[in-house]
Amino acid sequence: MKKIVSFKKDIPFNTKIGEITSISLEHNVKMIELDHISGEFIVSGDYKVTDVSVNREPFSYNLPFDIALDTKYNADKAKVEIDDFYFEITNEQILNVNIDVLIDGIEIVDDFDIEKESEIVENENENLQEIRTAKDKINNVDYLEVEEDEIIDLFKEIETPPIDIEIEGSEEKNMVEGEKIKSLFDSFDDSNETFTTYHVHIVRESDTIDSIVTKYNTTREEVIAYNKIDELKLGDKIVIPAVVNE
Amino acid sequence: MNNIKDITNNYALIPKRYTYKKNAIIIDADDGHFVFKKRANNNNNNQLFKYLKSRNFIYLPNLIKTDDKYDIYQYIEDIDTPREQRALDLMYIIAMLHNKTTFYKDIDDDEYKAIYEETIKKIDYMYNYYNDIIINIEKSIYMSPSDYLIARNISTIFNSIMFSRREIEQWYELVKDTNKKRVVTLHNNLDLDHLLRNEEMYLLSWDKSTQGMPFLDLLEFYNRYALEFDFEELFKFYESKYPLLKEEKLLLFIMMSIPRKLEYKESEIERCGEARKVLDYIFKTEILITPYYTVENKKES
Repeated sequence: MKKIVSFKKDIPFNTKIGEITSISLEHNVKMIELDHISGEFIVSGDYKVTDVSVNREPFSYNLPFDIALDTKYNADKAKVEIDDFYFEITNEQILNVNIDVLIDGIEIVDDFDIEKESEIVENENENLQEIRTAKDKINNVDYLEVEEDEIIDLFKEIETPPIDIEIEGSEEKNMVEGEKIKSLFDSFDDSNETFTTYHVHIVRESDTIDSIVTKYNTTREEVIAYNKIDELKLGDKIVIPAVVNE
Repeated sequence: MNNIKDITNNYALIPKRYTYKKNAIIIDADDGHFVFKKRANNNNNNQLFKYLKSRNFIYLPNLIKTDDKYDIYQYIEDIDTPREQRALDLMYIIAMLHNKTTFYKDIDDDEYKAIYEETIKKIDYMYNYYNDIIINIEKSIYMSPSDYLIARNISTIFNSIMFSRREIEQWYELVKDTNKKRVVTLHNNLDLDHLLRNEEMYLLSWDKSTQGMPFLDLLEFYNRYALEFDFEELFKFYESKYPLLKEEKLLLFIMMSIPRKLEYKESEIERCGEARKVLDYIFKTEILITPYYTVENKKES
């Protein structure tokens, strides 16, 4: 798998910049341990103070670069290269440098689909009598990235079971054996063969409670019932219940 | 911008350093040091280099490979030399280029007539352009510094234009009955940055190369560096290797004497600078050409 990380830096010069006559890029960026990429970009070259200058002034800047990889990535065989490099002069005195860093050869742990990480659909087993405990489920399903205690507490609170936690496209169903828990769904009409789905949504920058409510076609009260929304921040996971009739 | 990863992938390079220099991408890789220059449309440097080598012109970079997108050259380290020396070296190389690629081409009457008419048009345009400028300046109650600078030297500008107007008639009289023209390979993009000095000399950037009269390369070089170098010595050096014909020299002087337009500048100080440049160019050209119009020289010619 490849990932491109875009690195941008504005370099202010002490003088005006009329023209960059040459610009070079070197780097010593590499993998440090298995989850850390670190090093420096060295941007150097020469420039003219004005368009009509005869003399060329040298410049050289070291730009530190440091990123940490999520633990869901396996970076044993990863290598770091430059995908692209471009620059422009802004405000006559600032060199704006853009470096696209290509990280090649990273693997995702446990086939977790990164593109769908913001939305996981959980399907309950058709037979509501066979209910697994949340704790066992969590042990089998690391890719959820949901804290164990969180799930357990949640389910205790609402007295509903989770269920088979299934990632779209995953063939594995994780059935968890355990005690039967009094289910919310007992009150439902079995003849309708309903099942409960839970969406786990990871909060993005542009998200609001209203936008989430609209997206999942639920109500504000339901979201509040399942989550603490007062202290929501970017990257937090919230559980949104939904009911689908087959 | 080019995607440099595409380049390193397509050519299987493991790069250590990337450099952008004008339109070229220089990649320092494990396999060597290469220059990637994007190919201009219809440009075939491979063929041109073969032709020049066949004419024993050796001051060319090493073209390793050429494909749809890029011309790939071996990188050449440039030794730092004084600019005046570079200018002299460039004159030498251009003289060699013209010398080794000279041939005479049959032409019809219309070719020189077309040059004549085109030049007349340009001269007349410049006359009207500066006439309009001085009329507008004289209308204003208080002249700005740049306007005053032009007004004080307007007679110099018009003298230069009139000189060109007279001399083009002389030139046409000289060539109108000629049916041959001397043609050389022109570099057509002379710049000190296009000359690399190492153990040998190398002339780069042949994308605009064409064929034409030899004075055109000199005119382009003069227009670029007139205010920086003393062209009297440079022209003498060039002519010592490759003398210009009488009609070529005359046309060169005519083209040099036609003043250029004033570029628009926002601030008054920039406008003064622009006016100053145009005037300095005219004064320098006058000093350069005058010795060729002494009585002795006229008798000789």
